[in-house]
Amino acid sequence: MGPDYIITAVTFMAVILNFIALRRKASKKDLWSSTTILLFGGFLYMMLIMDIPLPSFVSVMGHIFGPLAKPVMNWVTEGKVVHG
Amino acid sequence: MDKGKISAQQFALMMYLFIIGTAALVQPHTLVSIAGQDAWFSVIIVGIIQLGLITLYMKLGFRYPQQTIIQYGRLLTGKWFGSAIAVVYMLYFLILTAFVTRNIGNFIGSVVLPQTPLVVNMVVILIPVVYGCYLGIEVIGRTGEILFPWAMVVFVITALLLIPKMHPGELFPMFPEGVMPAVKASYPLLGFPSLEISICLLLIPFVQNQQKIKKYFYITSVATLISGTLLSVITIMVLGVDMTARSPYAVYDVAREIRVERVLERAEVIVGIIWLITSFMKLLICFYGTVIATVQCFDVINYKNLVIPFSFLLLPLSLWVLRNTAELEWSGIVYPMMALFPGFVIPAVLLIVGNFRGRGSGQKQGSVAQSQPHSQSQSQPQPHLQPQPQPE
Repeated sequence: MGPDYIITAVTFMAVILNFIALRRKASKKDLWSSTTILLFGGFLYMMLIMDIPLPSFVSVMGHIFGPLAKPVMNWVTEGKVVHG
Repeated sequence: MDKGKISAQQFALMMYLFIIGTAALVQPHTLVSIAGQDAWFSVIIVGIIQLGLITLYMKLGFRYPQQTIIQYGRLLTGKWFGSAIAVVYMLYFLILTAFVTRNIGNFIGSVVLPQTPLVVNMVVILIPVVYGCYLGIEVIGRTGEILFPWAMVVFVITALLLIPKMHPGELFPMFPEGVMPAVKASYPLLGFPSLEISICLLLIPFVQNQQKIKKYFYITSVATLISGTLLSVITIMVLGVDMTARSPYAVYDVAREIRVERVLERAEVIVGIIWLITSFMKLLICFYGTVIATVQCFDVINYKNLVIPFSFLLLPLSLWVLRNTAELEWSGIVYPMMALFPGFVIPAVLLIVGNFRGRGSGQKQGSVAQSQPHSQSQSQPQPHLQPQPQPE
């Protein structure tokens, strides 16, 4: 748990510092793009450490490609030499 | 945009390390569990398909040698479709970077530093990657040049030291159930790493002597084919089919078998070094590709402003892509389907559209070849649909 809180704190510190640093010298597009990416990262990390039931990327893709992926899975694993 | 330039040789070395990347370590396990002792044949099948993919990328890349796929995607398909293509590539390389980060974290966590939290392993590998990306493409190219000979020397020494432990009988009987198991085993390999080579469509504009790319890229592809086949053959001959299929990091376990009397033992960390070198380069190139794709997608002026924010996004993303190792096998099936769009469908469609529109505008405007500056913005009012002269 220790590293989780440290990383969350560092992420939100980074959001603030990034905003202060870029506000003066960077264009608006740069500022908002970087702030959005940082905030998205911070909130995703918070959701993960708080165990919010977020489906993983692979399971999301599994749902999208499900009808196609299952027959392919059967085809690939059919007659599999070793079930490791 | 990054104003740096790399040579065709540096590009080729980068692509070699990129293709071998993380696949070198996990590939034998995946292949052998499906194809058994014929896993080496799957590598050859994928190698041939890879040559076809490289031909497609070269044709497309050389039509617009001073632009990335995101830039000419917008020129060819218009603002909305072009932006959709840009978003697809941005997300694809972001997810790929997250997968590679997770693979490295899993590897270090499970065999080298088992008591260290996964997050710490990933942060440690991300720090030099972020710094390398911040310094730009020239530094990435030179890093590849420096690391490549070390990886090769260690690979050759390891292979030589393993000769006494090799049992060629493990490769026989060949094709006991026909070639179909080998064909099936090539499926996961197509997505990881063959279709990922589409990242070259973002890197070609940074290459200085582009007329040499074609030759070096084909040599690289053949070299990866040979390296991959050798890795599979050596792993099967040393560990046997059962052990290779059960070991998630088979190449690392192969190195445990190195024993030269009592002088040289526990040499697996040496293999760990090669693997970290190739994975580091792969992660670095993926990260750079993600940043460049985002910069061009949102018309950001200075790419360096996005490097550090992306490192903070990558960490949770790499935890999110796979929640547990059970999903790893499922990702081997799903991932190639996802990679098919940015890796094959979009480049093929753009090539066809480019041919048609180039022909159409060629009839209207004559054969005036365009000459675009390197730092050309996507939002220029006059679209340049004429292909640039191809370097031969």
